[in-house]
Amino acid sequence: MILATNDIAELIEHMRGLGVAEIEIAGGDEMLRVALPEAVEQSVRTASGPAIIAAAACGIFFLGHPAREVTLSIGTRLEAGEVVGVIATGPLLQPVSAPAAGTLTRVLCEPGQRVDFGTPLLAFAPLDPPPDLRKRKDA
Amino acid sequence: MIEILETQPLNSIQDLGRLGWRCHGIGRSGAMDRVALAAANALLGNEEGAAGIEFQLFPARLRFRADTVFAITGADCAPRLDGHLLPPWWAMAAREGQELVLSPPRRGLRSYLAVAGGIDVPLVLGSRSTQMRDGFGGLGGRALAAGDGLAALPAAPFTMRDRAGHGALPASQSLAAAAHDTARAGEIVLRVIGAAEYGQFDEVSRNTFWNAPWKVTSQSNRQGCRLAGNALRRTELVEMRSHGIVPGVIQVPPSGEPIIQLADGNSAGGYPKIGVVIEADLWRIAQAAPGNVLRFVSCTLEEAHAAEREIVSYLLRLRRLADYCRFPVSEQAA
Repeated sequence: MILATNDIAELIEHMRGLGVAEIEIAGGDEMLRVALPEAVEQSVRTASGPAIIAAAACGIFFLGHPAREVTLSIGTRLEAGEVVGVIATGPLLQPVSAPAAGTLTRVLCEPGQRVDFGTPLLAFAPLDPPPDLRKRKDA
Repeated sequence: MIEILETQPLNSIQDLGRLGWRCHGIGRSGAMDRVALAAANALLGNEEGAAGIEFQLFPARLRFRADTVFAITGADCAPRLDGHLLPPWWAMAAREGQELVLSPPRRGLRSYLAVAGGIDVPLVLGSRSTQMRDGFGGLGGRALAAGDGLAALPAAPFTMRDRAGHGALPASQSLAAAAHDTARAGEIVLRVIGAAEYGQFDEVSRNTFWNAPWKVTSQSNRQGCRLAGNALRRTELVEMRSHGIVPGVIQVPPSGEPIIQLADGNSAGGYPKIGVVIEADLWRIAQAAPGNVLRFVSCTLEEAHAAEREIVSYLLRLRRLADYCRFPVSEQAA
C-alpha cells in the first residue's frame, strides 16, 4: 500500500480542510485515488422512530472517549449537544454528539471500527417535541 | 477574561519555560507536562509556548467573563462547563458567564487550561512562567488565588467547525512508552542516559537502579521527584563541587534514594548524578502521583532524539488537523 489506511483517514481530513475534492497518488505500480463525497448529514431524523447519528468524519470510532471508561449504555438519556463519542483521525478527535435531547437506543457501529463519512453510529429516540411544536403540528 | 472563583495553593501560570538564564542561577520553570500544554495550544491555534494555567491541586472553579474558546488537557479532571461534563483533552467555546469546574483527577496529577491567544501576563526574562521560589513571572510571581482576573492576549476570532468542540488523543495514548523487562502494568517507564558519576556506583547499585521499582514519594513537587527504594551506594565517596544541573538529572544524595530534578529544580547542585531522564519523558513524571512506581530503562542519545521527534510530530499533526476545525469569523461571514 502507498499509504496505511490510518494515514488515508488523515489525508482525507487534509483534503476536506483544504477543499480538495479528489486526489490521485501514484507510486511504483500502485495508484491510490481518493474522492470526497458531497456534504454528509451528521444526523438523519426519520418522520417517526429513532434518529440516526452518522459519522461526520473519517477515522476510528470510539463510544465515549478513548481515555475514559464508557458510561453510556442503551437507555442512557442524552442532552442536546452532548458528546457521546469521538472519531479519531490521527491525533485529532472530532465529536459525535446528540443533535437533540433523547435516549440512546442502539449502538450501530462497533467501537474501535474505522468509519467513513455517513457511517451510521448510534440510534437514539428523541424526546417528544416541546408542547408548542406539537400544537403547531396538530393545527 | 477569566475570574478565578476557587483554587488551591500552587496552581500557577506557566508556559514552556524560561530558557537561557541558568548561567545566572535562574531555572527553567514552565509547565511540568509541556506536551499537554503544547497540545492545548495546538487545539486552539495558539503559539506552542502560549501561557496557560497549570492546575496541580483541585478542585478549582473559574468563570469566563467574556466569550472564550478554551482547551483543557493533561490529567483528566472531569471538567464541567455549567455542569455539563466535557471530554478530556478538549477544546470548545464558553459563553460569557459560564462556569468551569475542575475536580481531582483519578489518574495523573496536573491539568492545563489554555485560552485562545494565551494568558496575558508580562514576559519576564522571555517567559510568562511563574517562578515561585524567587517570586517573579506569571501573576506577580505567585500562585493563583480566588478573585484573580486573567486576560487573554488578542487572537483572531474564530468559530468551531463543530459546536461541541474538538479534542486530541491524549499524549499517553499517542506517544509510545519505552518497554521495560520487569515493569508491571501501570508502572511508568522512563528512558535514562547514564550521567557523569554513573561509574562511581557499585555494581549492585547500578543493577538496582535499572531493575528495581522506584516509588514516587509525597515529598515530590515541581522542584523534584523524590523516590523511595533500595539505597544506591558509590564505591568511593568523591567530594564534588556544585555544578550546573538541568531538569531530568537524577541525583543520589547521601541517603541513597534518588531525586529527579524537575522544572523548578535548582540550577546547580553537588550530589552525584547517576543518570538523566530524557527530555521527551519528563512529562510522564509530571503525571506521576505519589505512590506511582517509576522504572528506568537505558537509552542512547539517538533514541532520545527520536523520542523528541515523535513528540514534535504528534504536536505538528495535531496542530494541522485542528486548524481545519476552526473557521476565522470574517471568512465565515463573507
